[in-house]
Amino acid sequence: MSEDVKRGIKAGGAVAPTFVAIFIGVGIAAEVADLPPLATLLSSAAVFAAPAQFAMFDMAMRDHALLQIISVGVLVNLRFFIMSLTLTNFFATVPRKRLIYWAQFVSASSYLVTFFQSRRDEPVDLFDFYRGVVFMTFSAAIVGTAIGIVIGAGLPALLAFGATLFLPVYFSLLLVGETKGRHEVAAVMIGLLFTPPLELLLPGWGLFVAAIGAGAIVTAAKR
Amino acid sequence: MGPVRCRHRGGGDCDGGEAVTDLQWFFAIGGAAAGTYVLRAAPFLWIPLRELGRRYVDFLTYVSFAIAAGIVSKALLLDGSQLVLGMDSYIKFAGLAVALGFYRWIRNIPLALFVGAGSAVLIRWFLS
Repeated sequence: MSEDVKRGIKAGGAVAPTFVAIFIGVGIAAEVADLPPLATLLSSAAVFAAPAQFAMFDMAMRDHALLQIISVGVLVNLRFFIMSLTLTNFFATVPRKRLIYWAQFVSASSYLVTFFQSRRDEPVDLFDFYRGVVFMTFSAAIVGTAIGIVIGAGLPALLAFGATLFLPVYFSLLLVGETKGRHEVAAVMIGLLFTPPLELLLPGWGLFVAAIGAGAIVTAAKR
Repeated sequence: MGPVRCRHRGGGDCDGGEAVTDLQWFFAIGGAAAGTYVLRAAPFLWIPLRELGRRYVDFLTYVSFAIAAGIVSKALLLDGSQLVLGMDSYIKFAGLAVALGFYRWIRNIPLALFVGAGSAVLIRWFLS
C-alpha cells in the first residue's frame, strides 16, 4: 500500500464517523420501508448516496411507480456529475480503465477531501489519496448500514449526535485552512448563507443550486 | 412498470397497497445505481467532458468551496429539509467554535476535530 493511500485513509478517517451515522439512518429507513436486508446493503454499495436512498425509500412508502423512484434516485445524485468533472482535473494521467471502477465511489466527501488535498503543496498522488479516502468512506457506509439494520432506532442519541458532527466540523476546518483570496471567500459565503434557504425552497436541491450559483457568480465577477 | 406499494413491518400494508416484492426493490436499486454510475463515470470516460472540466477549472473550484460550505451550514441549521434552530443547533455551533479556536491555536486538524466534536457531546450530555 503506497504512502499516499495511507494518507487518504487517515484523511478519510476524519469523515468516517459521520458516514457511519448517516448510513445507520439509511439502515433504519430501509427497515421501516421493509426492504430486505440484502437489498439495503446492496443499495448502500451500488447507489452509495444516502440522500437518494432516503428519497427512494420514502417514495416506495408513498405508493409511487418504479420508474418515478428510479428517476428521483438518479436526479438527486446529479451533483456527482459536477464532482467527477472536478476530479477529472486531478486524475488526468490515470488510465480510463482504472477509472471505470473507481468512479463508482465518488461522493461529496471523497471528492472534497481530495479537492482540499490538491490545494496543498505536498507532492501527493491524488488518485492514490482518493482511493485511501474511498476505502474509509465506503467501508463506513457499509458498516453504518449494517448497524442500522441490526439495531434499528436503538442507537444512543448522544452517540448519534456526536457522530453527525465530524463531517461539518472537518469541512469547516478545511475551509478555514484552505480558503485563499476574496473570490474563494465569496464562494464560501454564498454556500454558507444560501444553501439552507434554498434547501427549504427546493428540498434535496439546495446544496447543488447554491453551489452552481456560487460558481457562476464568482467566476463572472472575476472576469 | 406498475406502482411500488408500501408495506409496514409486521405485515400490514399502508394505504391498502400491495407488498413491495423483492424483485421490485432490486429493479429500483439497480436502476438508480446504473443512472448514478453514469453521472459519476461520464466525466472520467468521455473525453469531451474531461476537456470541459479543464476549461472550467475556476468555476469548478468555486463550486467545490460552496459545496463544502453548504454542507457545513446545512448540518448546523437543517434536519433533512426542515429548519431546526433548537438547543442542538446551538450546541453544534459551540462545538464548531471550540474546534476552530483550537485549530487556530495548535494547527492540527484531527486534534481540533476531536476536541470540537467531543466538547459538543460533553455539553449535550451535561445539559440532558
